[in-house]
Amino acid sequence: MDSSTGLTIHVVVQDAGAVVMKLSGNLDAESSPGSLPRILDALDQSQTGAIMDFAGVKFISSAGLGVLVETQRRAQAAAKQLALVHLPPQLYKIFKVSRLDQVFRLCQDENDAIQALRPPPQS
Amino acid sequence: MEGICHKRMVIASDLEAARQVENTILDEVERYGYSDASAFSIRLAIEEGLNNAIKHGNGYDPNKTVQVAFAVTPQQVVISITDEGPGFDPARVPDPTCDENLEKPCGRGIMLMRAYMDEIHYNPCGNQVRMVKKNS
Repeated sequence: MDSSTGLTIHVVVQDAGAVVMKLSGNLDAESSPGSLPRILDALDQSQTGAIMDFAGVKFISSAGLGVLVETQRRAQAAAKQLALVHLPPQLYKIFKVSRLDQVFRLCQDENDAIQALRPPPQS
Repeated sequence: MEGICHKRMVIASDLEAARQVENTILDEVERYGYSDASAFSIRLAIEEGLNNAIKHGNGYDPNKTVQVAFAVTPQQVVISITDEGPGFDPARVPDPTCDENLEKPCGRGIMLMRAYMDEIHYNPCGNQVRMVKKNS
Protein backbone atom coordinates (compact mmCIF):
# COMPACT_ATOMS: atom_id res chain seq x y z
CA MET A 1 0.00 0.00 0.00
CA ASP A 2 1.30 3.44 -0.88
CA SER A 3 0.19 6.08 1.58
CA SER A 4 2.05 8.73 -0.39
CA THR A 5 1.11 12.14 0.82
CA GLY A 6 -0.09 15.24 -0.96
CA LEU A 7 -3.31 17.10 -1.48
CA THR A 8 -4.51 18.50 -4.78
CA ILE A 9 -6.89 21.46 -4.63
CA HIS A 10 -8.88 22.49 -7.68
CA VAL A 11 -10.66 25.80 -7.12
CA VAL A 12 -13.75 26.85 -9.08
CA VAL A 13 -15.27 30.29 -8.53
CA GLN A 14 -19.05 30.25 -8.84
CA ASP A 15 -21.19 33.05 -10.23
CA ALA A 16 -22.88 33.50 -6.87
CA GLY A 17 -19.62 34.55 -5.26
CA ALA A 18 -18.82 31.25 -3.64
CA VAL A 19 -15.86 29.04 -4.40
CA VAL A 20 -15.82 25.27 -4.70
CA MET A 21 -12.61 23.53 -3.66
CA LYS A 22 -12.36 20.02 -5.05
CA LEU A 23 -9.84 18.20 -2.90
CA SER A 24 -8.10 14.95 -3.72
CA GLY A 25 -5.39 12.98 -1.98
CA ASN A 26 -4.44 13.03 1.68
CA LEU A 27 -4.85 15.78 4.25
CA ASP A 28 -2.28 14.56 6.76
CA ALA A 29 0.66 15.78 8.83
CA GLU A 30 2.89 16.03 5.79
CA SER A 31 0.48 17.83 3.46
CA SER A 32 -1.34 20.03 5.96
CA PRO A 33 1.24 22.83 6.39
CA GLY A 34 1.31 23.46 2.63
CA SER A 35 -2.42 23.00 2.17
CA LEU A 36 -3.62 25.52 4.73
CA PRO A 37 -2.43 28.68 2.91
CA ARG A 38 -3.86 27.41 -0.40
CA ILE A 39 -7.23 26.70 1.20
CA LEU A 40 -7.28 30.07 2.94
CA ASP A 41 -6.36 31.78 -0.34
CA ALA A 42 -9.33 30.11 -2.01
CA LEU A 43 -11.61 31.13 0.84
CA ASP A 44 -10.37 34.71 0.50
CA GLN A 45 -11.38 34.66 -3.19
CA SER A 46 -14.98 34.04 -2.24
CA GLN A 47 -17.56 36.63 -1.38
CA THR A 48 -20.06 34.44 0.45
CA GLY A 49 -18.12 31.34 1.40
CA ALA A 50 -16.69 28.07 0.24
CA ILE A 51 -17.75 24.51 -0.49
CA MET A 52 -15.05 21.94 0.18
CA ASP A 53 -15.65 18.77 -1.85
CA PHE A 54 -14.04 15.73 -0.21
CA ALA A 55 -15.07 13.14 -2.80
CA GLY A 56 -11.44 12.61 -3.80
CA VAL A 57 -9.91 12.63 -0.33
CA LYS A 58 -8.70 9.25 0.87
CA PHE A 59 -7.30 10.09 4.27
CA ILE A 60 -7.40 12.77 6.92
CA SER A 61 -5.59 12.92 10.26
CA SER A 62 -5.72 15.24 13.25
CA ALA A 63 -3.38 17.60 11.40
CA GLY A 64 -5.88 17.79 8.56
CA LEU A 65 -8.74 18.39 10.97
CA GLY A 66 -6.69 21.27 12.36
CA VAL A 67 -6.48 22.79 8.87
CA LEU A 68 -10.26 22.63 8.56
CA VAL A 69 -10.85 24.11 12.02
CA GLU A 70 -8.55 27.00 11.12
CA THR A 71 -10.42 27.46 7.82
CA GLN A 72 -13.72 27.54 9.67
CA ARG A 73 -12.32 30.11 12.11
CA ARG A 74 -11.18 32.29 9.20
CA ALA A 75 -14.57 31.97 7.50
CA GLN A 76 -16.44 32.96 10.66
CA ALA A 77 -14.15 35.95 11.17
CA ALA A 78 -14.98 37.13 7.64
CA ALA A 79 -18.72 36.40 8.02
CA LYS A 80 -18.49 33.73 5.34
CA GLN A 81 -20.05 30.28 5.27
CA LEU A 82 -18.20 27.01 4.92
CA ALA A 83 -19.77 23.72 3.84
CA LEU A 84 -18.16 20.30 3.50
CA VAL A 85 -19.64 17.91 0.95
CA HIS A 86 -19.22 14.34 -0.30
CA LEU A 87 -17.36 13.07 2.74
CA PRO A 88 -16.52 9.38 2.22
CA PRO A 89 -17.84 7.19 5.07
CA GLN A 90 -14.44 6.73 6.74
CA LEU A 91 -13.85 10.49 6.81
CA TYR A 92 -17.40 11.17 8.01
CA LYS A 93 -16.72 8.82 10.93
CA ILE A 94 -13.70 10.91 11.98
CA PHE A 95 -15.89 13.99 12.13
CA LYS A 96 -18.43 12.11 14.26
CA VAL A 97 -15.78 10.65 16.58
CA SER A 98 -14.19 14.10 16.99
CA ARG A 99 -17.62 15.73 17.40
CA LEU A 100 -16.62 18.08 14.61
CA ASP A 101 -19.95 17.33 12.97
CA GLN A 102 -21.15 19.89 15.54
CA VAL A 103 -18.75 22.51 14.18
CA PHE A 104 -18.96 22.05 10.40
CA ARG A 105 -21.84 22.01 7.95
CA LEU A 106 -21.59 18.50 6.51
CA CYS A 107 -23.70 18.26 3.37
CA GLN A 108 -24.86 15.29 1.31
CA ASP A 109 -24.45 16.93 -2.06
CA GLU A 110 -23.59 20.21 -3.73
CA ASN A 111 -27.20 21.45 -3.74
CA ASP A 112 -27.36 21.09 0.06
CA ALA A 113 -24.03 22.87 0.30
CA ILE A 114 -25.20 25.75 -1.90
CA GLN A 115 -28.23 26.13 0.37
CA ALA A 116 -25.92 26.12 3.39
CA LEU A 117 -23.92 29.01 1.94
CA ARG A 118 -26.93 31.26 1.77
CA PRO A 119 -26.87 33.81 4.56
CA PRO A 120 -29.55 33.39 7.23
CA PRO A 121 -32.70 35.44 6.56
CA GLN A 122 -32.84 38.88 8.14
CA SER A 123 -35.37 39.06 10.99
CA MET B 1 8.07 -17.70 12.73
CA GLU B 2 5.74 -18.42 9.83
CA GLY B 3 2.70 -16.15 9.59
CA ILE B 4 4.19 -13.33 11.62
CA CYS B 5 5.93 -10.19 10.43
CA HIS B 6 7.95 -8.77 13.30
CA LYS B 7 10.25 -5.84 12.65
CA ARG B 8 12.06 -3.05 14.44
CA MET B 9 12.92 0.24 12.72
CA VAL B 10 14.80 3.32 13.89
CA ILE B 11 14.00 6.50 11.98
CA ALA B 12 15.01 10.13 11.99
CA SER B 13 12.66 12.73 13.44
CA ASP B 14 11.06 13.70 10.15
CA LEU B 15 7.71 13.06 8.53
CA GLU B 16 9.08 11.53 5.32
CA ALA B 17 10.79 8.81 7.34
CA ALA B 18 7.53 8.34 9.22
CA ARG B 19 5.69 7.78 5.94
CA GLN B 20 8.14 5.04 4.99
CA VAL B 21 7.38 3.26 8.27
CA GLU B 22 3.68 3.73 7.64
CA ASN B 23 4.00 2.18 4.17
CA THR B 24 6.03 -0.75 5.49
CA ILE B 25 3.44 -1.63 8.13
CA LEU B 26 0.49 -1.06 5.79
CA ASP B 27 2.06 -3.37 3.21
CA GLU B 28 1.99 -6.15 5.80
CA VAL B 29 -1.54 -5.26 6.86
CA GLU B 30 -2.65 -5.50 3.24
CA ARG B 31 -0.77 -8.80 2.77
CA TYR B 32 -2.66 -10.33 5.69
CA GLY B 33 -6.01 -9.30 4.24
CA TYR B 34 -7.18 -6.82 6.85
CA SER B 35 -10.32 -4.91 5.91
CA ASP B 36 -10.14 -1.42 4.45
CA ALA B 37 -11.65 -0.05 7.66
CA SER B 38 -9.00 -1.77 9.79
CA ALA B 39 -6.22 -0.59 7.48
CA PHE B 40 -7.57 2.95 7.70
CA SER B 41 -7.61 2.75 11.52
CA ILE B 42 -4.06 1.43 11.64
CA ARG B 43 -2.84 4.10 9.23
CA LEU B 44 -4.47 6.81 11.33
CA ALA B 45 -2.97 5.48 14.56
CA ILE B 46 0.53 5.18 13.05
CA GLU B 47 0.35 8.72 11.69
CA GLU B 48 -0.82 10.15 15.00
CA GLY B 49 1.67 8.15 17.06
CA LEU B 50 4.65 8.99 14.87
CA ASN B 51 3.65 12.62 14.55
CA ASN B 52 3.41 12.92 18.33
CA ALA B 53 6.82 11.25 18.75
CA ILE B 54 8.52 13.44 16.14
CA LYS B 55 6.82 16.73 16.99
CA HIS B 56 6.08 16.65 20.71
CA GLY B 57 8.54 13.97 21.87
CA ASN B 58 11.67 14.77 19.89
CA GLY B 59 10.75 18.34 18.92
CA TYR B 60 11.92 17.66 15.31
CA ASP B 61 15.49 17.36 16.72
CA PRO B 62 17.57 15.79 13.91
CA ASN B 63 19.86 14.23 16.54
CA LYS B 64 17.00 12.28 18.08
CA THR B 65 15.43 9.16 16.65
CA VAL B 66 12.13 7.32 16.92
CA GLN B 67 12.06 3.57 17.46
CA VAL B 68 9.20 1.61 15.95
CA ALA B 69 8.57 -2.06 16.64
CA PHE B 70 5.67 -3.88 15.09
CA ALA B 71 4.25 -7.36 14.73
CA VAL B 72 1.62 -8.21 12.15
CA THR B 73 -0.16 -11.54 12.36
CA PRO B 74 -3.41 -12.76 10.84
CA GLN B 75 -5.07 -12.03 14.20
CA GLN B 76 -3.76 -8.61 15.18
CA VAL B 77 -1.31 -5.78 14.64
CA VAL B 78 0.85 -4.58 17.54
CA ILE B 79 2.81 -1.34 17.12
CA SER B 80 5.15 0.28 19.62
CA ILE B 81 6.54 3.80 19.10
CA THR B 82 9.24 5.23 21.36
CA ASP B 83 10.75 8.72 21.22
CA GLU B 84 13.67 10.31 23.04
CA GLY B 85 11.62 13.00 24.72
CA PRO B 86 10.91 13.40 28.43
CA GLY B 87 7.47 11.85 28.07
CA PHE B 88 4.13 13.19 29.23
CA ASP B 89 1.06 12.21 31.19
CA PRO B 90 -1.67 11.32 28.69
CA ALA B 91 -4.30 11.67 31.44
CA ARG B 92 -3.55 15.40 31.54
CA VAL B 93 -4.21 15.98 27.84
CA PRO B 94 -7.48 17.93 27.52
CA ASP B 95 -10.41 16.07 25.97
CA PRO B 96 -10.75 17.57 22.45
CA THR B 97 -14.39 16.46 22.26
CA CYS B 98 -15.46 18.72 25.14
CA ASP B 99 -17.48 21.72 23.99
CA GLU B 100 -14.83 24.21 25.09
CA ASN B 101 -12.14 22.43 23.01
CA LEU B 102 -14.10 21.64 19.87
CA GLU B 103 -12.84 24.63 17.90
CA LYS B 104 -9.20 24.27 18.89
CA PRO B 105 -6.99 23.35 15.93
CA CYS B 106 -4.81 20.82 17.83
CA GLY B 107 -5.01 18.05 20.41
CA ARG B 108 -7.02 15.30 18.67
CA GLY B 109 -4.26 12.77 17.98
CA ILE B 110 -4.44 10.70 21.17
CA MET B 111 -8.22 10.72 21.15
CA LEU B 112 -8.23 9.35 17.58
CA MET B 113 -5.68 6.66 18.46
CA ARG B 114 -7.89 5.54 21.36
CA ALA B 115 -11.02 5.62 19.20
CA TYR B 116 -9.61 3.66 16.28
CA MET B 117 -7.39 1.06 17.98
CA ASP B 118 -8.53 -1.76 20.27
CA GLU B 119 -5.84 -1.10 22.86
CA ILE B 120 -3.47 1.78 23.56
CA HIS B 121 -1.04 1.92 26.48
CA TYR B 122 1.71 4.35 27.47
CA ASN B 123 4.79 3.42 29.46
CA PRO B 124 5.12 5.07 32.91
CA CYS B 125 7.15 8.05 31.69
CA GLY B 126 4.98 8.55 28.62
CA ASN B 127 7.57 8.42 25.83
CA GLN B 128 6.38 5.08 24.47
CA VAL B 129 2.97 4.12 23.15
CA ARG B 130 1.90 0.55 22.38
CA MET B 131 -1.18 0.00 20.23
CA VAL B 132 -3.12 -3.09 19.23
CA LYS B 133 -5.65 -3.58 16.43
CA LYS B 134 -7.49 -6.89 16.15
CA ASN B 135 -8.28 -8.29 12.71
CA SER B 136 -12.05 -8.23 12.86
